[in-house]
Amino acid sequence: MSRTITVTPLTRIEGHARITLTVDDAGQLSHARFHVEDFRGFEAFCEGRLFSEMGAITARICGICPVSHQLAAARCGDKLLALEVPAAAQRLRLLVNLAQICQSHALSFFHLSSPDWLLGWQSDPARRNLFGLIAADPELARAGIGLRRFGQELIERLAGRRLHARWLVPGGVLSALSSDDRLAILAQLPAARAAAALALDRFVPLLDGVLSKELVSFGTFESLFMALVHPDGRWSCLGGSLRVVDSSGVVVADGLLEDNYANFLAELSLGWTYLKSPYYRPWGHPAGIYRVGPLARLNVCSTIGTPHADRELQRFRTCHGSAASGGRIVTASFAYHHARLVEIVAVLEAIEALLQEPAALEGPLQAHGPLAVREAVGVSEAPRGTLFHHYRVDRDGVLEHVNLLIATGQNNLAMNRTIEQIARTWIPWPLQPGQLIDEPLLNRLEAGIRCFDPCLSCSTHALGQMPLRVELRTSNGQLLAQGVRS
Amino acid sequence: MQAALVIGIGNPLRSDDGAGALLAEQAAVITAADAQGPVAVRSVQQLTPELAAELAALEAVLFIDAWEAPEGLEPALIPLRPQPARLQSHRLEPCALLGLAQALYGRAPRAHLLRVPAQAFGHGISLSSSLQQALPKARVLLKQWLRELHA
Repeated sequence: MSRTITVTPLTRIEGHARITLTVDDAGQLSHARFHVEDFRGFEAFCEGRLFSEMGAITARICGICPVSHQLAAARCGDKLLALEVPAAAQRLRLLVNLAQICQSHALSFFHLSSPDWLLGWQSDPARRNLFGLIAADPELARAGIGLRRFGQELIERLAGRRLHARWLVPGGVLSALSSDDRLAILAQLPAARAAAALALDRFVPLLDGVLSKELVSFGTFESLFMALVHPDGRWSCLGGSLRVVDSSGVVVADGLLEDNYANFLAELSLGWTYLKSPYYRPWGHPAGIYRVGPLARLNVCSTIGTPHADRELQRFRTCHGSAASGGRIVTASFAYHHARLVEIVAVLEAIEALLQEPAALEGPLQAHGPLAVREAVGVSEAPRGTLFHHYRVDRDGVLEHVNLLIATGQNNLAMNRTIEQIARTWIPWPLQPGQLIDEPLLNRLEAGIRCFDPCLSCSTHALGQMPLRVELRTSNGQLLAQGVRS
Repeated sequence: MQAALVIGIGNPLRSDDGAGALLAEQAAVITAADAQGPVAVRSVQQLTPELAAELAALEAVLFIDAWEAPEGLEPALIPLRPQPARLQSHRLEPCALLGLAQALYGRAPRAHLLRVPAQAFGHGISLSSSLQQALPKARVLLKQWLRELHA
């Protein structure tokens, strides 16, 4: 008899979700699905507001990556007003995004994911958390707390608040970084660098050892990867253009402009999740599955452009690069965790370089001008991946149309592939009637999702476009009735 | 070393949930006016793990938070002790944050929670009438905590 195994709620992710495994009559896995069950509808209720309010509104979608939304909204505003952002403001914007990536990656790696492998999949789930980590490795736990605090404090010193600051605005930023704040952050950098180095020392050897099977079975598959890069191919988290590479390392598309995103990205809505499933339009669905975020950024870039980070990038590619790409492309989703650590090294170096040139952080901070065009797209690299804001406004700047294309959504197809691969690899098929799946196996399924560090708060939207299927089934799976809204 | 910190917890855009931030602002005014020792004030929407490092360097901390309570209850000043807790996302309860400070840095400050009974947590920036009635008592307890801090 067919049956469905449900893992709910998923823990140690941002938001609420469910995984279902559907088992056929022979006890074999039919399919695995990642369901996002919250509906937020942010795009619809942003319509009718002024575009200049979008930074404040979208930053309140959640407290995880408000900076990313504010950056995308500000860049949209720059274009609507046809403003040239002053050089100092561009650097300060970059600085705040680097800080955001640091604090967000620290939360994901140390607090949410590291308990799985440092305490073990078989460990008591009640202790498999930050407090368990403290007991097992307090030095690493302090490193994680310290890195997150470093990023948060830099955001606060720049923007005045850690959350929901009104600092990033169309045309630039509202205030400069004081000399005292700059020196205070510089003084904290050695400890932050040491924390990142400690995490790499602890984690990377595990990937050749106790985690080697996870590395090849937690979402290791061919796909496209997309991220921003600078014109010379360097890693970027703000500015530049979009590049798409495939799993063999071939650059499929380069120099893509966010303004044309609808030409190369399509958004698929599925009936069993509120999370949309974007794909690379020229390749269609499902061939156009792509991944964004730390793993994609490291695959897409030629170099990072700073010495320590480039050494770590080389080690990352040497350790995990696929044979098919000559070691250039990493297809393992489990390597997202390693990629986050490499990016922490990168952002710390970039922060230091910016802070060591105080004169470049001074000067005009905001440009002003009237509404110049009626439609624009802003993009930034959020910690979880590429974030698009697309606005169309009337002549008074009131929003008539909003589309938010969120990193977590862009990884949705990949997350579903990941849990299916984990289920096929780790669960002993065929399942016998009544056979249960033990908790460590269920946690592995959850951990597959955590590789992507999904944030579900802002990625579930598209009011009015969501196909909805309601099914009424008996306990043995017989369909009694269904209603479909397309 | 910072001696004491008042942390208002809550979202000011969620009606009574803004009571923590409101009372924290008033603590700042009181301490400035009375020229009492080094009391820092901060408002947060939720307690996050990185606050543990800050707490470990303090002598005393007061958390102020709105509490969805049955009608008729009054504000209360409750002593807190560090406790271990699960961290499934990024937010912590006050006792768990104290536990984190104790576990990671070897010490946690003397801590109290000023718990303010509240009924309305919907969207809005105004406080319910019952919470407004509770504010004078909450202010008395806040002043009491500040006085005892410097006693």
